[in-house]
Amino acid sequence: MDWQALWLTIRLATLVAGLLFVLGLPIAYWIAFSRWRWKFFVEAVVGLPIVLPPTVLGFYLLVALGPRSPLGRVWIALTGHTLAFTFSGLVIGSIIYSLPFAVQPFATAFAAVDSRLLAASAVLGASRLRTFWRVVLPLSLPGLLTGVGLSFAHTAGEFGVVLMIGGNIPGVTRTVSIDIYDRVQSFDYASANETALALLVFSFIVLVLLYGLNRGWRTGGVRGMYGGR
Amino acid sequence: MADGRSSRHVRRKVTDRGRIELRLRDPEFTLDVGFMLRSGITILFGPSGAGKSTLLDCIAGLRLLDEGRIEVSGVVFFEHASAINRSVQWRRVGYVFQELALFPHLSVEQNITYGIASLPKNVRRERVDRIVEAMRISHLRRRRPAEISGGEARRVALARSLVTDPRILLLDEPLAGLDIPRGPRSSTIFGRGTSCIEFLSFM
Repeated sequence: MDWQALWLTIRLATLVAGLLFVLGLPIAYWIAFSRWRWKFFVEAVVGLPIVLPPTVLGFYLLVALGPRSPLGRVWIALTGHTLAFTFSGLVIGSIIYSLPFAVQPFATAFAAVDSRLLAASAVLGASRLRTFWRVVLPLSLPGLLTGVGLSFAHTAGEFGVVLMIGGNIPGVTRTVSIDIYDRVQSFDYASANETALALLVFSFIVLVLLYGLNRGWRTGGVRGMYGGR
Repeated sequence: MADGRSSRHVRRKVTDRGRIELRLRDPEFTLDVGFMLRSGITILFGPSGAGKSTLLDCIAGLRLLDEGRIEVSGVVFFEHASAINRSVQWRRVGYVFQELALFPHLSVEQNITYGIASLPKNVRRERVDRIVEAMRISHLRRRRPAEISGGEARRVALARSLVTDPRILLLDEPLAGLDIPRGPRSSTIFGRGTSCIEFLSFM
């Protein structure tokens, strides 16, 4: 087991899930409540990483983050090195790659909040922001948890994007999935299996926890859901 | 804009408490209403689908109007001609929905204080104490909406509106599920399919 790769993967996935939570809330809010007629266009862009081959996404990210693009040049001017083949580059790539896995559960949860509750909140004088904090967010808790869990697990398991924009630098961009690929390439099936199994068990546990919690939330009643404060 | 709160006492003796004229075009129907509000209770009768709830939504500011003018207690909520359209929050109406819309994740007390969070704590407590006493729901303060009966929930929703000291109280289907003795009066006077606009003398 490559502990360095495992630690890197956990760091990457935690950071990306945290950033996606912050970034995903406003995007999901907009998707759930905007009445703009071209909204579906934005939804399609956000959903793109679900259907796009990771190599395609990784390729364009590599170009976009590279020294020839405006973004890449700004980054080089600021930090002195390119975004590609760094941990930061990996974080940016993973955020885009896992965006729909956070935004879609968030947006679904927001849209599922009874619109009459939002109306009641407004009639009682609450601003949109206060309504969001006091009503929308607490009632979307299961969806938020699903979004964060899925984006964490999805980032932890990504391969194509990481390989394209991160390469395979131990301690910097070498994640668990790359490590597995490497070992298979060198016919080291035994240790590849060890790591792969760990990743499989881990992903399974995350999903079991997510679905189990969601189920408890739905059937456990309101008291169980909010701890009977 | 005149402050409805301070001028309330002056206006109390006047019978004319507002005028409502509005036109709303929806793909499915057109709502065209005009009437004068008098102090006391105004009751709207009509079969379901006549637009009673829609009218209340318009007064509360939850729906955009095409034309008309809404004036309540000397305060203009909406005036097409001069492009006045006050926000829902600004209008300070009390509105008890047919489906009540209590916040399921908040306790009865948290529901009631929701609209008065900006008031000082002692004022808040005093108002809540008074209203829960009046509505006979003191014993339910810590319960959640899922843990109380339909009639209790209705009284909580009423308390939540009244405690904000609204300019006007809108009740949609106020007799649905109310814990009132099933005498001939209550059912024959109002019947089902009633929306009620009431002028308030609570605070």
